[in-house]
Amino acid sequence: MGQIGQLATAATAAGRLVLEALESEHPARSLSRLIDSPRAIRLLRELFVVAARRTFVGRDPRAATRYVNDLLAYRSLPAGGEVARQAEALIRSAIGEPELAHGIPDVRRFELICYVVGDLAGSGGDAIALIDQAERRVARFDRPRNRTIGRRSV
Amino acid sequence: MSKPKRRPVNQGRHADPARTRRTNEGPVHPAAASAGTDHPPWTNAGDYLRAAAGDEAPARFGTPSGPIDDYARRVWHNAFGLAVRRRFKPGSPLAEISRTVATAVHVHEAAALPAIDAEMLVRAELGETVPVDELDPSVLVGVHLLLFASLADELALGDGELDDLVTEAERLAAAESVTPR
Repeated sequence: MGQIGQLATAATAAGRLVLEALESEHPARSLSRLIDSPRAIRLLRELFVVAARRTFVGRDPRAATRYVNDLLAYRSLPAGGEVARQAEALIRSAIGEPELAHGIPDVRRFELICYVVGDLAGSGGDAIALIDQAERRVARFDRPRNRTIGRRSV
Repeated sequence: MSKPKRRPVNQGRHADPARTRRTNEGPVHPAAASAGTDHPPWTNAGDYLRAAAGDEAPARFGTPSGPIDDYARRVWHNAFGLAVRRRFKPGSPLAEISRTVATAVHVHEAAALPAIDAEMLVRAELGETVPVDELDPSVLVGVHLLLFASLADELALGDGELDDLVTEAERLAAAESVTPR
């Protein structure tokens, strides 16, 4: 296993934590344990944006509906209610409809991000490349001149 | 040429006493009331819907105050479905649906309608399999009324067309009350 080598390629400590979680047997559960690390959460948010865009941009937006339905069914979660709507809203907010995700509670947002990132980046996805891109986004948006007032939508 | 006279939004106060109700209760019996006559089963629920479409109802802030009975909910649901299917075809581009929903949510900002819930309800009316469980009843009513109003505006429905659409919704709701779904 080249796990040690892979871990070494993540530029930040948060990146290494996220990568380690993605390499675990249950990526979503491992990612959810990072809730006490603000930097890991920040990175996870950008990783979600990167993973969602790589997966869904350029496809029929209804692909997000089908994906969420399959993901929740696989996780034995209710696929016909509020969680499904919130998950689709989050994904579509990442690919250009930010207003859809307004009002989703932070805890639910984090939970859904863990599920989606764990699925898109954890199972055979190119986790290192995705984390690298997410780290660049964090660095870019956290430059003082790029800081925004208030929180981002995702 | 004189403009066709629009039925006044009067909460049923000047309607046929046989079909007049004081609140949003269900009709006396719309199917029976209209049987053998040319009159549609005008009801308070329909009048309220017309008022909402004309931006003349308190529904501009979402759910009407006071109790809402099942019949009114069915009328508004049916009218919403009819308007959605008049505006969109099944399989319409999602961007087009989202744009309409976003406009409605913006126009009725005071009601704070959740855009994703409203969009799912529109898509459900078009026959898509979408998650519409666990919706708050007040959100349902708000979406049915306010999106109906926006769709009527977007379709530029004339008074006669609006009346026809509402009447059709009333007939469907009455039929459902006779034969429960």
